[in-house]
Amino acid sequence: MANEHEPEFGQMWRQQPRHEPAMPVEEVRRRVREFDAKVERWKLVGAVTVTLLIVKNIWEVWVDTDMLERAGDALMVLALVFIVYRFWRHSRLERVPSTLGRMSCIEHYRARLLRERELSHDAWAYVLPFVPGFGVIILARAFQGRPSSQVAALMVLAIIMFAMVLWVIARGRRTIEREIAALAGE
Amino acid sequence: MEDRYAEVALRYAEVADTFGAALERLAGGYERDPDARRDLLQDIHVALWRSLARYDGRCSLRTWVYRVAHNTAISRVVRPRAAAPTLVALDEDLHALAESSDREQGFDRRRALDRVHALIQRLRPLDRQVMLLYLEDEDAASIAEITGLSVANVSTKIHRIKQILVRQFYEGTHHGE
Repeated sequence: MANEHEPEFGQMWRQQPRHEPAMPVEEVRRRVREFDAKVERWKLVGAVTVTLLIVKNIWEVWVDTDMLERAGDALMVLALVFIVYRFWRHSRLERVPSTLGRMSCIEHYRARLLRERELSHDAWAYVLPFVPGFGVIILARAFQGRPSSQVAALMVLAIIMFAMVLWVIARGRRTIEREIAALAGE
Repeated sequence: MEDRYAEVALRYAEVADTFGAALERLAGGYERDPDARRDLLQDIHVALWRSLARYDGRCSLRTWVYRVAHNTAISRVVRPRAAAPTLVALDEDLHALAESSDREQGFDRRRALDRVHALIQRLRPLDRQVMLLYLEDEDAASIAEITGLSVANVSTKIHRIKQILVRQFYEGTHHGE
């Protein structure tokens, strides 16, 4: 009984009314240009933000009188540069749209998952670079005669922050691993 | 340069004409919200425009278009970290999938379509793609070429899809009797 109605769903699906008018070629070209401009704007925003952060830290290296604090700020600059380099390298590996048609859906999805896993694989690589800078800055404050409770609070805060970043990355990686394992069974 | 542009424009016009409606349905299979669906559809058209300049005829234009569309949609809509745990596979929860929506009295096309949409959006990416292609009347071999799954695997998935759809439909008519 049910089988005689089977084709209904396909027909029903394909007979859905269209909501969007067809896009003329010029409109698509305009959107391609807009999309490119948007990407460039975001790249610019990212570059300006990172530059400001680096400049701020360099300025602190310059104006701080305490040698240890200056060393901590300098290490933070290095950590920022290293992280920027990692993201830049990752973004260079992003697929260009022309390959979208050359890859089957499973290849594309697997490649996407593998890229995400690669990005989150070495969680320490995002956290460790900042540890020396934070450590030296906290040490400098301890030597400056700050109350030990303030130094301890700073240390606890830093540890919690690093642990949370690691936890979030590890959780994401586990989900990705499960997805990759599920794909292997297809 | 102008010749190249003219060639891409011509090919794009052909694609938009032939697959425009199917691409809109595909976008609807990934996004129910009208604004999000419109955005996704535009992204798909932009990706198609860009990709067509590199189309080399190694696969049919149909396969190319569906691959670009589904790969764009997957990249944009399904974020593995956030979405994966809530999505189900065709073969893991047949009963739940078929009964997940409200039961209505009688078969109503609009409601049935809403149920199909709800079902699609609960599926894992590959199952979702197979189902959308099946609803577009693509055969198992074409679906296998587009998705990269084996024909046998696609056939099994299609069998499950039919079971789920028939169950939904049958429930609808049965309740209405």
